[in-house]
Parts: sequence; structure tokens; C-alpha cells
Amino acid sequence: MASSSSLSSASMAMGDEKPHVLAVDDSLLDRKLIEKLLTNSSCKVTTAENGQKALDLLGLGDGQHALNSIASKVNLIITDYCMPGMTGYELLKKIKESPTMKDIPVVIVSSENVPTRIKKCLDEGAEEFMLKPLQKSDVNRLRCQLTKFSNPHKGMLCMGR
Amino acid sequence: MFHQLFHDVLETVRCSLADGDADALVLKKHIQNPIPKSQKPWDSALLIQSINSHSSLLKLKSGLVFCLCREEQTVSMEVGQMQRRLIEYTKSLFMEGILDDQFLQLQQLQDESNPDFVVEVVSLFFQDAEKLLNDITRALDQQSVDFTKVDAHVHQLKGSSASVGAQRVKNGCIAFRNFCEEQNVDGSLRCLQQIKQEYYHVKNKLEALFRLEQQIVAAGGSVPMMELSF
Repeated sequence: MASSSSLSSASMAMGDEKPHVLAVDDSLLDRKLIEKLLTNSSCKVTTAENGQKALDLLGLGDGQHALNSIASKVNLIITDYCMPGMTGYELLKKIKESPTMKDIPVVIVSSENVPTRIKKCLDEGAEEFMLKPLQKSDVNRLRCQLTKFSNPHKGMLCMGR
Repeated sequence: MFHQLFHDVLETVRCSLADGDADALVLKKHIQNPIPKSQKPWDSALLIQSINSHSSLLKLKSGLVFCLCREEQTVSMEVGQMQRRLIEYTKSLFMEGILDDQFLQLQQLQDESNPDFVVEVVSLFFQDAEKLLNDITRALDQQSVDFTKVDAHVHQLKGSSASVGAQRVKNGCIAFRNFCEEQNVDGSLRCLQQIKQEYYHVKNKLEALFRLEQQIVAAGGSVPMMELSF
């Protein structure tokens, strides 16, 4: 199984396909918000209410096959840091430990600006750390980065914030 | 029969006015006192103009205009006026620091595909807040207070209030967390009282705002978008 195929660069190369984002947050309110932000930015969204459910969706749950998972289609994972049970950091670690998932960019969001926390996440391989609540400009920026990341040959100009 | 209609009209108009509105007080006076047959039913504070055989305009001293439809026996406020009121009302909430920019972000996210988005998100906030305020109250009521638990609840409430732009509630939560860190029960109880007040305040204001929006839509108008700079 080629690990680079999980980047879904193949599906993105089609150009017309919407990026698929997995958003993880224990707050229903915040899940609703991030989902709207992302769909307004032409992304397909799947939400999960905790780290374990996210792993199950990615086919990384205990004793699971990646077969029915959305793993091959996900272009970005956005996760809240503070969650009961498995924190966003712990989820990040598990994703980075997976040979199939480690190349999917993971963005950590948090309502608290704690430098040690930020460093910890970035060191573990998080693409970015963002403050909550997320705004349209944040999502626009992520969206642009996603396009560049998967389509280095597509000269797309991302204007404004 | 005319006097009954007059009373109904006044009652409808009175209900449409915000508390403390000068006209509401004038109308209240009218409704409490019965009108003698000989007396002209309309006070000088109110002006009535016939538009056509079906409807008349009722103009109050403050400049508010209502449209009375005699046939259907309905009273409605003119749409443009309702829209202006909504904008002024929303502005006042920002000026008073009750709402912050995040609320505008929510409004901007709303579109035709999800026209009730703001109401839905705010309803989630109300649900969250009421549950969390109860949880915090119970936790502080224990013989031995578990401040880790209290702090976790406050953190959640802070998050929800921040997500909808309920600034004063959010700020109250930030202050509360300091008391949790100090394991200060008295300080926490005082803070909780404060946050409860702020919560009910913003809840009333938002419900009033949504009612104003509903009235506009019911009258066939569209809800105006707030400008980001004011």
C-alpha cells in the first residue's frame, strides 16, 4: 500500500473535487460552526465528537480495516485541543504514528493561547495551531494551503484574507 | 365595536413597542382607562390618516408608523421602520459590549441554504449555558468542592459563549477561572451570580432581536445585514 496515495492527491488532481475535511470537537456548537465555515468554503465535511470516533472514521480504530473508512478521501483534519478522553494532541500523535494517515495535514485549534502547548503540537507534526473561534479568514487561508499542497502544478492565486 | 377595535389596535401596538418606549406609556394609559362614548377615541398623541377604505396609518408622536387594516382588523409596523429598529437595536448590543464581533461572523455565515443558522447556533448556546450553569451551581454546593470539575464546566461555558459572541458571559468565565485556580469558594459563588445575570441579560436581548427579525420577515421584508464597521 503506497503511503502517498493516502494524500488523495490523485483525487485532488481532478481539480473539481471538493477537499474533504474531518473536523473533531466535543462541542456540538463548535462542530456546527466549523461545518458551516467549511461548507461555505466549498469543502466536504465529516465531523466527529471525540478522538476515538475520529480514529474509527479513519479506519484506525482497534481491530479495524481501512476498507470502509474515509481515510483515502480526507485532505485535512482539524481537531480541538481540549477534549475529554483523548485530547487533540493525543489524536495527532496517533495519526502521525499511522503509516497510512501520517501525511494528512492536521490542524489543532484551541481557545487558549499557550506557547508550550503550541510548541508541543507543532513538534509532534501539526501543520498549524489556530485560535478559536475560527473565522472565515482562517478557513480561507487553510483552503488555499490545501489547494497548493495537493496541486503544486496548479497555479492558483489566493487573494485576500 | 369601534371601541373594541380601538382597544385591540392599541394593545397590538403596545406589544410591538420596546419596554421603556415613551409611546408604550401613553398607550398603557389609554388601555387602562375606559373611553367614554362622547370622547374622540384617538388621543392627540396619535394621528390617524386614511390611506384608502381598507387601511389607515396610525402615526405616534415618536414618529413610529403603523398600518391598520380595518377589514382584517390587523395592525402592523411599516417594514422600513422595523428594519431601522433592528439595526439600531443590534448596534446598541455591540456598543454595550453584550455582543462582540463573533456574532457578526455568525450572521455572515448564514445564507439561503441555512436561513436559521444563527438562531440554531444561539439555541445551542442557550442549551449549553443553562446545563453548565446548573452543573456549576451543583458542584459549588458540595461539602467539598471539586474545583477541577468546576473549572472544566467554566471552560466549556467560556468556549460556547466565545463561539456566539456573548462577550460579557465569556469575560465572566475568564474571571471565574482565576477563582477556581485559587480554590476560592466565595469568590466563585459571587462570580457565578454575575455570570448568571449576564447570561439572562444576553438571552433576553437575543430573543428580542430574533423577534424583531421574525416581525420583519412576517411583514414580507428582508432582514438587513449589519455592517462590520460602526
